Amino acid sequence: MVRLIKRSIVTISVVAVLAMAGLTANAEVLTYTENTNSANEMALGYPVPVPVDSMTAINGFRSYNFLKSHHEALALTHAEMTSIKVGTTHNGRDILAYQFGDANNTDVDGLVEPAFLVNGTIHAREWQSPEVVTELIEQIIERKADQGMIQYLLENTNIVIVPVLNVDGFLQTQRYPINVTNSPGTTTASTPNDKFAQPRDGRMRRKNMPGVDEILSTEADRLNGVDLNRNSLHFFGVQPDNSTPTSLIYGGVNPFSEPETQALLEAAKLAPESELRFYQDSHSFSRVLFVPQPNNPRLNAITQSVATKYQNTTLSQGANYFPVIDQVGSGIATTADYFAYEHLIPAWTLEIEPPQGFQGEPNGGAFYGGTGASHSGFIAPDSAIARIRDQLAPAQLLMFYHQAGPAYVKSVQIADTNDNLVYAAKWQTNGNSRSLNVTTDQVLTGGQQYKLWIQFSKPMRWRVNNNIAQYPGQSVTLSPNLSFSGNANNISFSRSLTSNNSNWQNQAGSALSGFASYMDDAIMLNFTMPSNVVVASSNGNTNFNLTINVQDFSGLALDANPATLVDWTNGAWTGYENTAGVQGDTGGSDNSYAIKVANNSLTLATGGGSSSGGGGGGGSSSWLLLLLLAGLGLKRRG
Amino acid sequence: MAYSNLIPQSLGVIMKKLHAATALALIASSGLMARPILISDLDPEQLYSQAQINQQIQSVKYKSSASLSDLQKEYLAIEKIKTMDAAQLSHEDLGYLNKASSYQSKSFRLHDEGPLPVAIFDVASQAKFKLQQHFIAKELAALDALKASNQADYLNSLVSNSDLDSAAIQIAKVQSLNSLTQQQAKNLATDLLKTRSLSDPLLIKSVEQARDFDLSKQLLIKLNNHDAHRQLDALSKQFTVFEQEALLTSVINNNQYLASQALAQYAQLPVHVRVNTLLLDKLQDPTLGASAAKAIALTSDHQLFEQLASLAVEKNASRLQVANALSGLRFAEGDYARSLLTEIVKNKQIAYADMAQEVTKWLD
Repeated sequence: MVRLIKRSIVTISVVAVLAMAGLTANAEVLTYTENTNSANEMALGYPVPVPVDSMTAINGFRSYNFLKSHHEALALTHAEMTSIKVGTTHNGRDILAYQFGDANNTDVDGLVEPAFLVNGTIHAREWQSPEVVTELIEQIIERKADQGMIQYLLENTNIVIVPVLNVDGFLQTQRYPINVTNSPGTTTASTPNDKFAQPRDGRMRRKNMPGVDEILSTEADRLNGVDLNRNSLHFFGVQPDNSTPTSLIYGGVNPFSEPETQALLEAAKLAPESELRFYQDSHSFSRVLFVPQPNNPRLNAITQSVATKYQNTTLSQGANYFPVIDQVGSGIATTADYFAYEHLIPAWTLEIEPPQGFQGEPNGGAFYGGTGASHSGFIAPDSAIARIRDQLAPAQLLMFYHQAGPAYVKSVQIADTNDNLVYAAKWQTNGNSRSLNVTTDQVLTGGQQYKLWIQFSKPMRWRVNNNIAQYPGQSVTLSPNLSFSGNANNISFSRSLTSNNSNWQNQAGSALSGFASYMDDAIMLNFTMPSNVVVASSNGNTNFNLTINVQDFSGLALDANPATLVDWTNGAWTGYENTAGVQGDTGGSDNSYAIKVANNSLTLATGGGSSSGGGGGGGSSSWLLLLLLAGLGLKRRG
Repeated sequence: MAYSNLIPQSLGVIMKKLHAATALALIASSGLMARPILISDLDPEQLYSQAQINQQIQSVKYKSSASLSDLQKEYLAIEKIKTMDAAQLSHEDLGYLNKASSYQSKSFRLHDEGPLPVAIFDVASQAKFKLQQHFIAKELAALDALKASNQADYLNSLVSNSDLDSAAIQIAKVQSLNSLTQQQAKNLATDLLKTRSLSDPLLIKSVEQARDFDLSKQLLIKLNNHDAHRQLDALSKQFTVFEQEALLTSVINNNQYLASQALAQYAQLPVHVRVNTLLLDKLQDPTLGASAAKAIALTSDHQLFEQLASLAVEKNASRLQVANALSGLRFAEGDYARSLLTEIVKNKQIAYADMAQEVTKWLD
């Protein structure tokens, strides 16, 4: 990189000579420094980063050439990651997307996989972006065989990541890592503050490079280019400056006029678009999420909910990525606007740190002890970026996990103390629906011990040092909530099963002995079939409906009716029922499993009694209890 | 988040420690749950368009101080602070800067990407920075005076317990090293290596000044902070190409953090200095294999490319070796490497189907 800087100095000198000869007009080249302020220098207060030729992650910013090689090497080495050329920049450079998943495009049930798209480096000067996105790639690959969250995502979803969309612009910023040109309208006689107020080319290039040479000091083209984050369909041209070609936010001649934004659309097709459930465009700086809100209340509620989960996870990592919610129906033609409005999915513009405007925290580069000079937030110090990368990865992965969809119960098995199967039911997916296939359905005995094993469709718990824990920043009920309910002797009953965190299975073993496909996708516990349910006759059996109430580690409740497949349509979940069987976005308890229990092992009514056994009751028994308590209360008052 | 985690331990940013206590108190009082200032928090008059900002700044010189807007006052405050000479601050200047250090911006513009107000000028941070520079200048002057009066005391003061030094003293000490002789720097670095952490800015600077191979090697085979990359680039250039070869080899073999960058630098050594087996052997390294491939690509050495091509089709080669050999040919980008790749694909010699697919895409 030192070589690049030298080359740029030589180039600048050549241009300077040409200018003196009256052959061209020159912009003034300004320099960011650590400590020196002068007529053409601006101190940031910390060393100004220059790109490093390293493929491995460092405490610093990698050069594009090495980042790209790193991505390509990972894609070649790991079958779970493939590269796809999605476009070519104005200057003829490849724009690459990377797809993560298994060989097929279907989940373990044979359904088309949900998909997520993460875009990086649409604005050239935002160097935090490619590093944060690359960390995401690295974590997916490093943890691909974790038998948990990542393996689940790879086998059941389709993740598409574009690390660097604005390749030409990014290279221009790395070509001149410490240099910019003066603000439009200023001259060499202007104050340094004015000259540095709106730096536009070199390290502070934001736009792409159509017809722009790579020589920093060329006056004629330095303000040219299209703001790729104003070149989308929805709200195209709504800002007055969107139609001024030299403006920082020039939107181009038409929506998606630019090869880079066209490449982003191509990347979305890899999902394909119809399967997209999440989009993030990764920018810096401000440490917020800008969250578009189409006129779709269900989508907006879901988006705000997941944005809060994202924020909570970043808080657990020591940073506060605050969701700034747009007004409903407003936008400025960002790519996040496009995906939110066109595909009705949770979408946002991530603005990576440093923060801006937070109470008690310095703005921009001052956050790192710098001067807080104008635009310094785009130049985070080398020493910060490793922490930034690490802080953001868990939140992004959580979004994939959440938007993969709610879990459903795949299988329930019960065995007696001799490990003989007495009940077995499994949901089988047939096209667009599922049916419960009960293969074993024996009569159980009240008061007897059994072993219960329940398999879910995704890993349901997060572990730290092998112990069940909350996913960073999330708060869910960790223990499974299980009960039997039914109706006997014309009275409804409910009996809880004692369960705890240790019921989650992190050892392989499959049915009745461990997890099925992913760590913690199953629970197993021993229980005593309740006998304290009052029946009218000792003949026959009573159905005990097993009720399963569990959240996944992102807080999504179960799909209460697995018969209807969950999908994403028109900005919300479909086929996602609550306990009452009503479709919506909250889910509920699944009580699809009727276990037969012999009446002769239950409590025989003596002249028609109530069901009031331990573990809670329901229906009429509750009313009786209420009346009794009311009576007691009246007595006391008296 | 511990505020100290945000403090880069670099020469320039030790300055941050000056304000760490203040910042800690601020964060403790606000908590991480603090939110940014939102549009709804502002009086509409506090929000300026870029055209309004330009107009306000252009008109500032025609206005009396009594009629200045907040934006204009903030603009003038920044101008005033920047023109102050940190080494020559008057009592009045210091008073002004101390007051400005706690100033809260009143003028905002809209964030480019969304509905978030952004302070137009950061008067407080500029004032703090100027004060920091002032304290450093004072300490540097004191050190210079000590050096002039008693060289031995000055050298002793450099190695005194740094934990008790303020950030300004630490920075001043580092800046004062510029005038040391090479031998003095070597002695100092030798002393500091016994007691200081390798990331200590004074130690790093003294090693840089010493221009000594052994000291540089001792530093670079272990240094793993953000400063390591600039040091690797700068220090290795102080030596002959043969010394560079030895230094880089030590880094590649001993410092995994810096090894990828060191491999890239190694590849650019003259061909008569470079030991190619080092690069080829590293191709099977799970962490550095791809970096070795990149390094081989950078050599533009056709013989090495042919060895990559052989390895890529070698039946006994591991999956990792095959991947890295193919990557090396990809990274080379030249016609010769591409022709070797084309031949391999044409002859269907890639043992792994997924890799064959990827390589085919490269050639499209």
